[in-house]
Amino acid sequence: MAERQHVLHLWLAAAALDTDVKAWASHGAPPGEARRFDGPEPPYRTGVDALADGWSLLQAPGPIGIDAANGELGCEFVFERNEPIE
Amino acid sequence: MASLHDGGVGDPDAILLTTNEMATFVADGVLVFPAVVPDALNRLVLAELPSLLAEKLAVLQGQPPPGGVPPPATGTPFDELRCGTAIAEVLALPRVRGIVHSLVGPGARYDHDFVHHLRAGHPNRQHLHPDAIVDSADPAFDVQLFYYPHEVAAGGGGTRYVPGTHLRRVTSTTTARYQHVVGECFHAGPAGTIAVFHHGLWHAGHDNPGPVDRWLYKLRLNPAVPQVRLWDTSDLDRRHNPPTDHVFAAADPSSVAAILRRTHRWQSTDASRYDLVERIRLWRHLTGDPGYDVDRYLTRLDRPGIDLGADGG
Repeated sequence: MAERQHVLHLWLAAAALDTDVKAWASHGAPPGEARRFDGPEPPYRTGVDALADGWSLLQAPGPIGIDAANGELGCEFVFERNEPIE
Repeated sequence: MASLHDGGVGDPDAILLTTNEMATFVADGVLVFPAVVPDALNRLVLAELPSLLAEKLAVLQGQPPPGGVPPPATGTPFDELRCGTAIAEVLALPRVRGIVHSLVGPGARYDHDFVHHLRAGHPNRQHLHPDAIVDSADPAFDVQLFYYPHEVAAGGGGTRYVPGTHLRRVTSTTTARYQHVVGECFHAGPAGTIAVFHHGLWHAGHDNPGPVDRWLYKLRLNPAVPQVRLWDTSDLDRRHNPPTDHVFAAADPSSVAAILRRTHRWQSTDASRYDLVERIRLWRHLTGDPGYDVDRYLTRLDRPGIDLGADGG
């Protein structure tokens, strides 16, 4: 079965996977799941919950400098999951 | 500290913001005033907005404005904007004048305005962005009035914004990545609602899933005077806490500090402290009190190496 990549960005409360999701973005969600990733509440409570649901971790944040503390949401984790093309 | 009820000088009918509202603006970067424009005036504005939109689009395309009336130039005084129009009547309402006076002062200047029109069912959705593309660390700020002349239903895709993000130093390039942030709001409210944003507040136009076209008039204003004690400061002496107010020591729950400490769901514990420091800096600017503090954060930074007390610690 043909597959395509579904990418999930989670910005967590700290640079630890078991902290709460504060922001998120999803690209490539299957049509039946699009609303889950585009709703008012995050699709997972923590990054660990995403792992438990079958997501693979692609990227984790390195050290976040104090100068960046009042800027972007720094604790970005990127996941992927291959989804069947329906 | 002197008690200065000076915000209404020259405009006694203006309904100024309270200290509570000003502190909330510093903490959230937004205030919302439901149904402050009467329905009859809303209808007049709705009839006017298509021609105003045509003017804005013509200028963007380098064309002369339809009707031949030149648009206002940047720097035009607020009380001279779009004279003879229904929009001017909205801007002359005592509540609106008071909001503007309290935040950007007498003689506030026109930066620009725009009309946002989204047809029913239109899927257009902006990326999340501040309107501070080129900005400095100066605490002076512009405000943007978002005027909704018709009702926006809950779930109707009204303007999205994230309270408390206005003092973050970011670029639109970065915030575009966040499709959703916990605690984000979508405007919904009755006709005639006006929201006022700090120019740094993260926001975005949202798609219109509803059955009616959506119209929004947006106006950006610059201050022309220092933004110091321009609101109704009659209760400021009582609310403006001393720099010793500390949440882990002695704290007054009725103080401005209690408002500035409010957190938003998107903030982690650490992040909320950095944001609090920026709010303290802004409150210092607004009150003209360089010694103001909450939880001793800036007092500590202001006295590096000598903060051991008289006994030497």
